Amino acid sequence: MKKLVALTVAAMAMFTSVAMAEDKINVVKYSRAGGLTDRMNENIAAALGDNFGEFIQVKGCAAAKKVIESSSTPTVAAWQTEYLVKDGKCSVDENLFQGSLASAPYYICHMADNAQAADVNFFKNGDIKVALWDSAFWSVPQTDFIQSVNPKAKVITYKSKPFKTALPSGEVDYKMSTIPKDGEACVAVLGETGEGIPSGKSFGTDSNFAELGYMYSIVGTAEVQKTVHSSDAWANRKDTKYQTQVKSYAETLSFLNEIQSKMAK
Amino acid sequence: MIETLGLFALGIISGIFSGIMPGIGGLVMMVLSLPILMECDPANILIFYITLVSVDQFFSGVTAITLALPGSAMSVPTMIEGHHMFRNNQGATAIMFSAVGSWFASVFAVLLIICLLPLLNNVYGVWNTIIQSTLFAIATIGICTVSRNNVFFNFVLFFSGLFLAKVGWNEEQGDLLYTFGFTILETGIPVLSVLTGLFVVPMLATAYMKNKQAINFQRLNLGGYIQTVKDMRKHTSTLVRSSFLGSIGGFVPGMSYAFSSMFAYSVERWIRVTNKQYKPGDVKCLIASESANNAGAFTQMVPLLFLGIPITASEALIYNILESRGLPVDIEWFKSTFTQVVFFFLISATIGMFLAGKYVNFLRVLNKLKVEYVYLGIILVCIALNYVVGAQQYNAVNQLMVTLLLIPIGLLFIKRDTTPLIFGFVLSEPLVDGFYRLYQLYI
Repeated sequence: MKKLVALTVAAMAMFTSVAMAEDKINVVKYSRAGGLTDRMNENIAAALGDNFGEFIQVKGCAAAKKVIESSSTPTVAAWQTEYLVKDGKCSVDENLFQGSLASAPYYICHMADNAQAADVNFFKNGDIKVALWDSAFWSVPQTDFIQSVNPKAKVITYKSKPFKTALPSGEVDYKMSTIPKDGEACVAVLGETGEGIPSGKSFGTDSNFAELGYMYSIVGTAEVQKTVHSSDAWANRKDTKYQTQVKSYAETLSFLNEIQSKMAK
Repeated sequence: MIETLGLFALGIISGIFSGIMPGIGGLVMMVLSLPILMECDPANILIFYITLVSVDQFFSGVTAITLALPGSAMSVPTMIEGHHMFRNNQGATAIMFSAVGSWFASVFAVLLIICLLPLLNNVYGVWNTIIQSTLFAIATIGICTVSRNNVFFNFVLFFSGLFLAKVGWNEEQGDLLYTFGFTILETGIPVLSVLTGLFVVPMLATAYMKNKQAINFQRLNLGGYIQTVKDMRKHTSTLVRSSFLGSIGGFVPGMSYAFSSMFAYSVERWIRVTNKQYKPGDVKCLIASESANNAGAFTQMVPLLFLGIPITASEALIYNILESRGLPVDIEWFKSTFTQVVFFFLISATIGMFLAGKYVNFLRVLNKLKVEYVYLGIILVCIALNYVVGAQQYNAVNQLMVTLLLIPIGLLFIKRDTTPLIFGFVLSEPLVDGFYRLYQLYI
């Protein structure tokens, strides 16, 4: 009898350990090592703690999407929110959207020693040039806000690397990005940050994008948003420029649809 | 101090490795070293990087000259001139001029930056889209007018390169471009695949058809270095011009010293062709490309050190490491590291120059090998490395298949010069983006 009980307990323990192993959640890494998206995925893995399984590494969001959709084990990834646009190569079904992760508002900045650009009236009324990162998606709401404040504003799109040198080149007056650099000062921030920088809404525009930030969502086959946001690892992450964000799928989709309708025009 | 010396040594080893192995560039070595770098003093991270980049230049030059293995696209000019010299029993001359020229260019770049110190805070005030696009245009026109094929065919190749670089997932557009439904193309066409299939293979095939003699490495010694320093006086104008152009090229965001090499080479070859002095295996063109990339390897650090702006993927990674560790990434801190960076750059350039000679002497074990075995081995190594490098980017099978598909296409270009295609591929993004930006800015 004792042997039977022991065997039963052992079998149950084995079953439980298998079940627990299956409960481990994998995280897909699909972008350049050390980059922002990669770090977001590492933050998720750290936040999962003992529930973290392993990193699955593929190249690009399209490949990551295939892994998530076909994996038999719970798998998640930090997802650039613009990927969620319907019918895109990296869009996923609603049931795979596990919530928003983090966002950082867009700042409109100039070189700190540029006295003309520091004048908010110049920003509102001057013949200004504003540098934007060359994203077919994000440049639409950014342009909408800028031109609602100053219809004479001209936007110039830059690829990632030359974008970094746009302001020092002097060929643009302002740059719109989520992370102002040392040596820059900002005339506006499209959110409430408590830094004393005028918010987008304070310009009284009719643009729907006076509050705008770059966003990450979580997609996958495990509900991890609350676990991540409430974890010590997430609270103690060193790079805190991207703040916790909680948005529903409907809110996110409505925002994306609004941009898409602008793009269509 | 121990950590500094340890990372300096690791930088040398990493530079040797990335210089010898095609496709394993500085960025890959930085990523591989990430766990170590995450724990290091921030100034030591910069020392590691500058050492890696400096030593890499010497070893990638030697590998391109002797084995016709391009460490990256910037080694293409070195391969064209250097390997031709090597196969005509001028290997020692090619390597010595390349190494000594590179060392002089390193010193030139440091002195130039020191002279310009008061102006560096405003370097991008003059280094704007107009200037950058002009330089890209000069390099493009230069290479398309001096390559061995007729000019029309060169431009066709160049635009083919531009097109190939656009294939695959486009992050900015958020869409796939020119994949025609082929899954294999979704991750794009990697530069190492293009180099292997459309440059190395046709070039080696052409070289083999011209010269079937066994491989012969000449021994290098200290006397050779001294003699080369004396002989370098005949090439002073080339050396100064290329070091200057290379220093300028180092400032190009996203390309830096890769553009230095292409730019200086295009200009030098244009001068030589115009003066009717150019012949394949031209030592002045070799000095131009090799010295320029060493100069650019140093000046690429200037935007990071004086403006806090990372202009290459490796520098962005350094920046990210500092940010993710919550360390200060302000301009004053970067400036404070300048002296250390200069010191370790010059030391590593000197060590790189002499170690490169030792490396060549080591390669003499290959002497008398039949050239067909060596070339076949090189192609197989390139193919294998495509798999390895692809695996680093989680794309091994795709990259291998793309490479294998490009090789037969490359064989169609035997006896042709595919350099314009490679230049087009590498210059694609900055060139197209630069001209589109000019349109947005001024029209």
